[in-house]
Amino acid sequence: MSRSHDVVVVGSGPSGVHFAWTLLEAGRAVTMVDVGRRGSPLPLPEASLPRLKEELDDPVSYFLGDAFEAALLPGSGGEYYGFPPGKSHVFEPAPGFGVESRGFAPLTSFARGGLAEAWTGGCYPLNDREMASFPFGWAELGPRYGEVARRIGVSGAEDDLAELLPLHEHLQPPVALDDHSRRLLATYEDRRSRLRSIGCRVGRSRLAVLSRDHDGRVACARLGRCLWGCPSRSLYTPSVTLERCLERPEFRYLPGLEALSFRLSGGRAEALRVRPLAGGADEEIPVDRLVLAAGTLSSSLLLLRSLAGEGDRRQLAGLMDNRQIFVPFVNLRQLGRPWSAESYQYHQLGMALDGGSPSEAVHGQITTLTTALVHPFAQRLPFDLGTAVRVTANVHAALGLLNLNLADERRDTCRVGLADGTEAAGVERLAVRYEPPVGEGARLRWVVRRARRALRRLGCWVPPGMVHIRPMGASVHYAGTLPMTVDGGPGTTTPGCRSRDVENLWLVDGSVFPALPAKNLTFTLMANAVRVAEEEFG
Amino acid sequence: MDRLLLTGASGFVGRRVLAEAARRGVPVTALCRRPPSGGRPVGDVRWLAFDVAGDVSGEAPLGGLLEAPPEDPWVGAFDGVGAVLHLAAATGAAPASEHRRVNEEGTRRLLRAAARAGVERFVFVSTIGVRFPDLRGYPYGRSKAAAEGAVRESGLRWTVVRPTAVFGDGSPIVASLSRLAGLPVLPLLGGAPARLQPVAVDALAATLLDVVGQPETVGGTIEVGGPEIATMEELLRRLRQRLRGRRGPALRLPLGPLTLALGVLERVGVRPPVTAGQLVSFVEDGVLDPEIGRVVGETPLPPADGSADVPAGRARGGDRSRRLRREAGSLSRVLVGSPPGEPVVARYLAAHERLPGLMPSSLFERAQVGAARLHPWPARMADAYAALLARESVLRRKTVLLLAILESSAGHHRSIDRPDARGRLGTVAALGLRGLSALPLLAVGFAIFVPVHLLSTLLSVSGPRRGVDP
Ligand SMILES: Cc1cc2nc3c(=O)[nH]c(=O)nc-3n(C[C@H](O)[C@H](O)[C@H](O)COP(=O)(O)OP(=O)(O)OC[C@H]3O[C@@H](n4cnc5c(N)ncnc54)[C@H](O)[C@@H]3O)c2cc1C
Ligand SMILES: NC(=O)c1ccc[n+]([C@@H]2O[C@H](COP(=O)([O-])OP(=O)(O)OC[C@H]3O[C@@H](n4cnc5c(N)ncnc54)[C@H](OP(=O)(O)O)[C@@H]3O)[C@@H](O)[C@H]2O)c1
Ligand code: SF4
Repeated sequence: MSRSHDVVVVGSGPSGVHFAWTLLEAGRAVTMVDVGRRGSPLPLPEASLPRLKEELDDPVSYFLGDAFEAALLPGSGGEYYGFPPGKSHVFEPAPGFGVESRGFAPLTSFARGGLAEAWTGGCYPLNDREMASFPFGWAELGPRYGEVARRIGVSGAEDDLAELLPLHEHLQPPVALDDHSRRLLATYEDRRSRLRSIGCRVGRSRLAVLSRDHDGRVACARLGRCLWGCPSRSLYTPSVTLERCLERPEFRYLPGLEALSFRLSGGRAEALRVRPLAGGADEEIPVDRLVLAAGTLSSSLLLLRSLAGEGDRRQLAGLMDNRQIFVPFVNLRQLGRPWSAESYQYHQLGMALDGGSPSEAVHGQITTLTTALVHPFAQRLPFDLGTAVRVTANVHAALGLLNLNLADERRDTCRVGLADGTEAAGVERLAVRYEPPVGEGARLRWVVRRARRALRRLGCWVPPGMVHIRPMGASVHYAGTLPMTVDGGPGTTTPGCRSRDVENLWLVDGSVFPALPAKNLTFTLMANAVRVAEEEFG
Repeated sequence: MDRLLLTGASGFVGRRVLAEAARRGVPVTALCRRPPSGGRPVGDVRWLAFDVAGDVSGEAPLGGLLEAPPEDPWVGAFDGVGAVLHLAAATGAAPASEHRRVNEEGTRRLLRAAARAGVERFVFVSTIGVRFPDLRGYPYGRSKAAAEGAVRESGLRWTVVRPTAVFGDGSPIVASLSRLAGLPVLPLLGGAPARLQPVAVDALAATLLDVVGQPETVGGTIEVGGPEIATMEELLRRLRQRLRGRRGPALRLPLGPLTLALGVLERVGVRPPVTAGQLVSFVEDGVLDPEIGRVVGETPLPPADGSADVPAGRARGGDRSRRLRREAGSLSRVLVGSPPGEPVVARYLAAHERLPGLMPSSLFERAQVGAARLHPWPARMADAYAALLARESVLRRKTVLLLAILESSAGHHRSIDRPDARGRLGTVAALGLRGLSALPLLAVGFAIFVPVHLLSTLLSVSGPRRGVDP
């Protein structure tokens, strides 16, 4: 039975599942096409991280991987943790997706649940100022943030950051702070005026982590395994919502299919061309209304290939990503204090550094070191590793990492297009070009200086030589190739995220963002997907 | 470049062929029934998942959602393919019917599909076991022999490759022999007189890829083995030595009653470490026929104890692992103050097989690593110097690797990632002391390694900076 009246959605990431769930709740039928790579179940779900090391048959392969791929040896880049082997399915490529890039390190996911199966759960709503170039504002998006929070469970507090992070409905109380984060926050409260005077605010992170049982999932039990995969699903991932969708009879989920392009006729998408992963010939799925939620890069490639099939070979300008900077620090007040391995592992505090405008503002996440592998850190110390290991143990309780996100704007020089090459028509590779704005070096130095100053006022020291400027692409906050505009031409979308190139095509992932404020975008992706589903398909 | 259709790509040998193909930049279409889901994929690989013998009919595409008839799984499998390397097989303790179905019938189907798709080059991986004089009680060997026949008659540009026993990390043969060798009394089935000539899996993988591209092998049969021959008895004893640290008692068991007993066990569903069918390999020689044999790689046999009478071929492999063990011992004392223990050492050795950049490639790096093997103190001195002036040198990579393994291992992780709460003053004092004790190390380290490093840089030929492990 072919169900051509269905809405066909490509992708099961956060954008896709919240779009689909909204339609399903409204009683509509949805077909979802997905590559849908799956991981294996997490072992010993009740064990804390240290217990895992004792109780697993082969902890080395669990933590480092059979090919030792998660061991970060000197010379393998400046990261502080390797992706855990148990999440490797999240980044497993798809055979028909190829990309070549300049100035950009692209990361894509073809997993059930998308990239956010490996995310760190930061959920930050945009405020009206940040949405200035969006064709809507808080009035439209605020309730949708609340709706997403109702579905996934977001915890946080009303504190100094709330001026930048507007309050929405269904906010759970924050998860219990670890000792180091608690002291940092207390220091901030003591020295609030001195910090506010340099434009720095500190407060609780907004996290997709349950502090209360919710919708059949249990509150975070502080197992300290977040990086290796939360076994209790207290840390939300989109596969939770996908499972909800799968309970609905009106939902058709088609994993194991890679969408390659769609066939156009008279400015309409007629059919989606898909390739079964298991092998065999390509198939066509007839479409009435097509919704792309394959992530900015993959959705852009699908559109580019499809247009090229009609002889329209073009580029899409405006690719954005948040530049990230890692600033490791030592909190002198924490030296010599105990720490507990049984605590939440990712960031629990946020730091905002005001700028004159939203595009100059910086949003940071502060992760204190609770449980983590030591070798990525110890190798950076200027001592022999025997000494470095012991020094790390001495300072462990005092270590933290500030991860700064910088805003980005659409620029004509940052583009995606089809790569010139020998590929057969219809499976061309994506070519990505990214050029940082003029004056990037000076901007980064200025931000790092401000962050150092703020940390100093918090009683923390930033050891010289350890700040790491991540390459573009590393934050995986991709956006901007098909921006929503009130009126615009080809290569744009309507305020309802409908393509201006293809009549029955909508895009509900990051590709439609007209700007990228200095905040992790996924919460907004989900809220916007709800909005489009309600307004355009309601 | 033409793709290689590799069947059995998820198996023990197949995985290594995949890795080698990625290194060589050969694009691969990989076939097996259950493609691996985890693991970082390397190179250009397209996975196909279906049964080569194909009578477990695949699910209808899209779960029957679209009105397309079930597809022939072979359609599209040969897209862009220039050659087939056929490894997929029922191996080990599979029932006789499955050996026949997969190895014989599966090979026939693959041959037909290749012919239909116009792909001519076909390399079939058989086994040395097809030469055992009596294949009646050996369904695996029988099925492979029949498959060889089908390959020879196919009219394609074929080559048959017969490996000897394949050894290496994850080897099914080594695993089952180890189960025998680990028993309290070593059972020598039929006296275990068979002579073996095992081949290292990586050397085999490379050879298989070589053969695909060697037109002179078309229409021929090649046997592939390693440089050393040992009897099954000797092999079992060496495995036992490695597992239990001593040789211990052995028991010679006559073959006849055993075959019977194992047959009964299998019937009632018990999985013994060897099946009745596999018993032949304890008595029949599995060594190369010199006429058609190729010796490749280093010997994968575990070393015998006492190195006096070690044949030259093996000495190198044995020495290398001994050196790595010594190194792990010394570095572990530096990192956690105690010896590493066998599981950690085993992972350390395994990592040296997999990760690049762990072989010293200059005079300086050899001096570093040599110092580290001597004793924990020189190890720290060498590392103290490297921490400042050679952060990516081999010794640092090795030490960080061992640290990563130790901190992921039961027991050891506690001495690395433990709360060390001694108050602020106590901590500052401890840090001060560590700094003081690190200074003389650094001074001596500099005194030794500055000249060595300089000399090494002056002498360095323009070779690659970092060797890649074999
Ligand atoms: C380590 C890490 C930490 C992160 N932390 C945060 C955070 O704290 N806060 C935050 O806001 N964001 C975070 N992110 C970013 C976040 O994960 C992404 O913004 C988000 O997942 C994007 O969602 P998406 O649905 O648009 O696309 P994706 O997540 O990329 O999902 C794409 C989906 O489409 C499918 N697909 C793609 N192409 C095809 C095709 N051709 N055919 C069929 N299916 C296809 C895939 O299978 C997948 O299901 C993090 C990301 C990473 C990697
Ligand atoms: N290991 C040795 O010592 C040795 C010695 C001599 C010769 N050989 C030969 O070398 C080859 C590889 O050996 P190995 O040790 O790597 O074996 P293995 O580990 O058992 O791997 C067998 C491979 O074949 C696949 N396979 C099995 N049945 C299949 C079917 N019906 N359809 C499709 N794929 C199938 C398996 O994947 P799925 O189960 O996922 O389908 C797996 O990838 C075999 O031909 C073997 O006879 C091995
Ligand atoms: S600490 Fe992390 S892994 Fe553990 S329950 Fe909480 S969210 Fe899950």
